[in-house]
Amino acid sequence: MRPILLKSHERAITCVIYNADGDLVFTAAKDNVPTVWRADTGERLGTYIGHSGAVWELSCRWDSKYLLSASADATVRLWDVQTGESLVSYPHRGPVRSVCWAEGGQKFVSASQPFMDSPGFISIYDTPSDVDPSQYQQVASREISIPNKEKCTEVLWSALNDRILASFEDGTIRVFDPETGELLSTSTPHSKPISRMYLSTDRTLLLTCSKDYTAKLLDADTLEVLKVYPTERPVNAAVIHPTKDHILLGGGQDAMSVTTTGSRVGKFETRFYHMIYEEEFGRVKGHFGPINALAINPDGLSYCSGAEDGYIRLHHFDREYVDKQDEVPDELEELDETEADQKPDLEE
Amino acid sequence: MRGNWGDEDDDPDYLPPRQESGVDGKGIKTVVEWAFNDAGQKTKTTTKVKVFAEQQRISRAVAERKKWKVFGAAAEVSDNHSYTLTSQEQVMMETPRESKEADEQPSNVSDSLKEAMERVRRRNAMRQMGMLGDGEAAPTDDEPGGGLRGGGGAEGGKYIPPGARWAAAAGGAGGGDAPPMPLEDRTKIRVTNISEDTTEGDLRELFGTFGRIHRVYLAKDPETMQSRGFAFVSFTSEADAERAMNKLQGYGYDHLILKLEFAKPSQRDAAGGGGGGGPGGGGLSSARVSGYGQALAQDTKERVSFASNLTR
Repeated sequence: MRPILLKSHERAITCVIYNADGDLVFTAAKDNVPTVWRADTGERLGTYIGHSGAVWELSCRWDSKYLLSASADATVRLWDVQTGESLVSYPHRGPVRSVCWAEGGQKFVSASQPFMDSPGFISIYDTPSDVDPSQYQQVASREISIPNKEKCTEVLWSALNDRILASFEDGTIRVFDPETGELLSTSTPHSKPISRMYLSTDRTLLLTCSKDYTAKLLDADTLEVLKVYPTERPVNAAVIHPTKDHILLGGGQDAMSVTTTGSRVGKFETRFYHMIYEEEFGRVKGHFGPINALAINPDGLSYCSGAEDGYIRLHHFDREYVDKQDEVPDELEELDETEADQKPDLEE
Repeated sequence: MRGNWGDEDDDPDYLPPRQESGVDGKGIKTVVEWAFNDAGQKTKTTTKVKVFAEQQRISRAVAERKKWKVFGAAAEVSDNHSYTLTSQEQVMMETPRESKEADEQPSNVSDSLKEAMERVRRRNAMRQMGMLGDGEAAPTDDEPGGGLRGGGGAEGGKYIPPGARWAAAAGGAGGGDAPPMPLEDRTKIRVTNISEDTTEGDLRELFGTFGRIHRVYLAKDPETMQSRGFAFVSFTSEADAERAMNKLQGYGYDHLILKLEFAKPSQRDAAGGGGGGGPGGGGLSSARVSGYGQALAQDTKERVSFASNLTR
């Protein structure tokens, strides 16, 4: 692979996403300017100027017309993807950490963090596609207040928009009813803050990654832990490969402790795990800071990583990886003869 | 583009940039690259690439977006390409085993060693039955002097660990002030008496059980591509090299008994500072402390002994 380096952000990268067709890459950083790039050549297509704080997360509508950005300046902005024009600004009561379009793009959810006396909120806004964005209500149609000043790190819609999944800094995932705002269930897969969650393309699997050095694969419906991927550093980003049974993990030492750890043990690689056998089979080096964001092209042929070092690296997979067949369980068995308990499930 | 008027010719480190021609009528494009090789010589590599046009179907929306104009800050600068750089180096997907073993010492070396041997045996059997293609690539030319570097054959005396070599030898020669061996030589093992069927991959697997391997070079005949029965294995750490040395010395591998020794300092060092072990235990240091003329003489000796290696 000869990665393409995208360098226009001046600070640590926070979010990298592809649009649904996989031809555009949107990136956000702690500087205030989200940027869009062409996914094939890495050419910079445009910037979205307007925020006055770090941008934490982006979400692109299914048809790539509108982009949402969640910012620490306590707003969510709705942008015209093609022109970079800011169409609507949604005020919040604290820094907005996460934003996500619902399936179909008729509404979106945002998660704001506690600020001063105000608790954190999970807010749902209506964005009907038959109304011009200039007519959109800037007031949330539903607000769910988070007790005890707990910090929500990410919100997602489950399949068919019937539930909202929210991850928290105490390692819990809470499920809310978007219609009533009721807390339906809570599960605690991690012991430390969950940094990100990622839903598989069909929205049946949920991948969580945490500062407790693990990523876990959960049933998106029951939140039952199916697989665990241990590493030896905080995991900041995780994605599920859309066409292979692979997952990609990114992370590294905390930015704070980088200077006190040896250069070799930074562990800033992107790690490739087999989803089912939980076995790590590949690493891609390149960043010189912890990876904060990962995104994979919906066609599965390229992926993008953004790191604390301010660089985004766009990798087009080698033919070798794309054509590679996963090892058959027989061979795995042979490798792990001594570890009988780690035998792969033959029936998958 | 050009810097100072005198720079280009005077600067010995100057390398012309990579040039890529357009695609000509036959669909061939030419890429010219410049680099320095191991010997410090400037080399020019011309690669001709046949370009195929591949039709790709994209959705109408994507095709529409291809026509989008740049906007925002991207519209204010004329050169958006400067924000996009293609990495000069190839990034490979590494297998985690290599880096993992560098992190944590394998708990049971002999077990994993046995495993590796077993795998090799099985693979060899498969290869003989023609079940497995010969997946080995041609030896890379990244170590042109690999064969020459080995220097003399047997060192004669008993094995001295690499760390102690210099001290011991210096003591024997009356306390010379020569520098210790460079790390590269202390981690590089010369393996002889390897069966002809052994591939670089096999060696990597065998030695990989002791630690992270930096490089494996299996000497092959340039014409027949047959193994010449010896190889060099470089570890990244000295301790790993030593463990491998202790464990695999005299190890039975594919019906032959392996013979290991630490590689002698390379020819370049030998010519510069004296050195290059002749036959005899203390050869290394006596060369280092002795005069220039003697070093030269030993240098030639080394070549002779290398030549004798070939016929063995």
